[in-house]
Amino acid sequence: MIKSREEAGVFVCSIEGRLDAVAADLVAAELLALVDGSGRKVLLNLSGLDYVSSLGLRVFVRVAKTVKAADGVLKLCCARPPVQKVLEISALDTLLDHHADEAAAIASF
Amino acid sequence: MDEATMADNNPRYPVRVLLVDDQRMVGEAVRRMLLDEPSWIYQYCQHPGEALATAEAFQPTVILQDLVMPGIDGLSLVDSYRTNPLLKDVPTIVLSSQEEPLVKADAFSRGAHDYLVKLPDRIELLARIRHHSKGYIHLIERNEAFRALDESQKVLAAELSEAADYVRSLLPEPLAGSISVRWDFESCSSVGGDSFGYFWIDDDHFAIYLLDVCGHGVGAALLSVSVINTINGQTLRDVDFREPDRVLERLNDVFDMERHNDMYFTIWYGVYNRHSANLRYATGGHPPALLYAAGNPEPQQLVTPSMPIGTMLDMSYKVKDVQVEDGSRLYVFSDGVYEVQVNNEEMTLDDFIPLLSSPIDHLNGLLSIRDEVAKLQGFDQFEDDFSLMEIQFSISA
Repeated sequence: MIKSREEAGVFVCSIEGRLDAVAADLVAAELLALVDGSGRKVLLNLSGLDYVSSLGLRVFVRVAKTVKAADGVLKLCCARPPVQKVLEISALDTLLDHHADEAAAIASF
Repeated sequence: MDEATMADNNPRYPVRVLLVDDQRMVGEAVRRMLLDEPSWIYQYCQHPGEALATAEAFQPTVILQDLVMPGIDGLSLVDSYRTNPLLKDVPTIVLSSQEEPLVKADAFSRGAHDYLVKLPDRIELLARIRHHSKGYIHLIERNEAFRALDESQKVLAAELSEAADYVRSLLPEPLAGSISVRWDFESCSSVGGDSFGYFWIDDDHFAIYLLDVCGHGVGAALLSVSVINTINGQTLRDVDFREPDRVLERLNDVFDMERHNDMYFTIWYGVYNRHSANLRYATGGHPPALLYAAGNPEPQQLVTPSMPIGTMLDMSYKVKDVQVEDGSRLYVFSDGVYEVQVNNEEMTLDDFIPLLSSPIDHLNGLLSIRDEVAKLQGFDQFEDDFSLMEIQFSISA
């Protein structure tokens, strides 16, 4: 469900599928293990994400807190409209920088 | 631990051997063979007519059954054991004086577990008794475990049902009058994380709220109950419950997810002033409420985008005001009412809005909306709690 790679000094994690009650804790654990490290620039690419439930928001919150605690920066990109709507309602799009495409997001760090 | 030790060292279920044989000499011979197994309990039954009653009373872990006896066929007794509720699973070893394949086949087909020519070798007899007893004792223990599990599940179900009754008892009665309220609520599990309420803060201000704790089950329900009791009791210190943003900010402090097992909730909270007809509202990560002016199928979406309650400390929450016209309808709901899959696609709020766009005059009231969404997703069970509240404002009434 998560693919990760390093590009231009940014750690890019692409999440696919649904972030619902079933997947949220699994994805959070996997992501937290991946981003565990200090001072990282982390980008979550959400282009493959079909759905985020209110429980799924916890994934972003926990990763954001972990990255921030390590003096890192977390950004989001490529959320599709239904996911974008959830990010808007929960104001995560104001708390976390969101970009429409990945290249722009990487360049913005 | 080897098989012998396991079968012999079970203090709750010792090996119990019942021999049914009309020849006293065989009874004595078997007794002597078992002398080296002091923990085993041996019972001898000489009269086949008493075999069933003796077996029921003795509760053997294995029956040694003679084949040929006066007046009764040993295999008839095997039939009786198999149909007796107390004995049907007890392993039965048929003892015969002849090594005859057809008789053996008949014995096995009628439910015997083993066949020995008597008198068997002592070591072999002990090994077979031990083997069959061990299997039977495991079966008893497994059945007991299932019974205990079933019992504990019943207790748990009863406790959950009591908890669900309590959560339901906290939900308000529908209201009639100048502000009328009706609602539909269905939990997707025994107890859910959604709850809602409304109450008069004072003579002029009417509070309305609906919250959705992330997750389902007992943990979510406990947090949900804690929050509604806090709101209904207006027990947030130094907070004017007429100010939605202040209520949410204080709830955000009190219910910090770091101190509540990583749980948080979304909420819509509004206060209607019946003199000014102003509705002041704030939301914490919650879907918009929909306000329909009379005769207008296009709703206003009432939302102030902000983080769910408890996710980040020291958040400030925005507040907005809207003027409520006479005859307006307000719908407040959780995302569970529309976050379902329709033809493998996620249903969205925009897909849901048309269902509310005309006044709901259906006989089933709001239940008709629930049924409509269930029909769209193709099955009756919802994945999330379904909470939908309708408030009607009859200002001139």
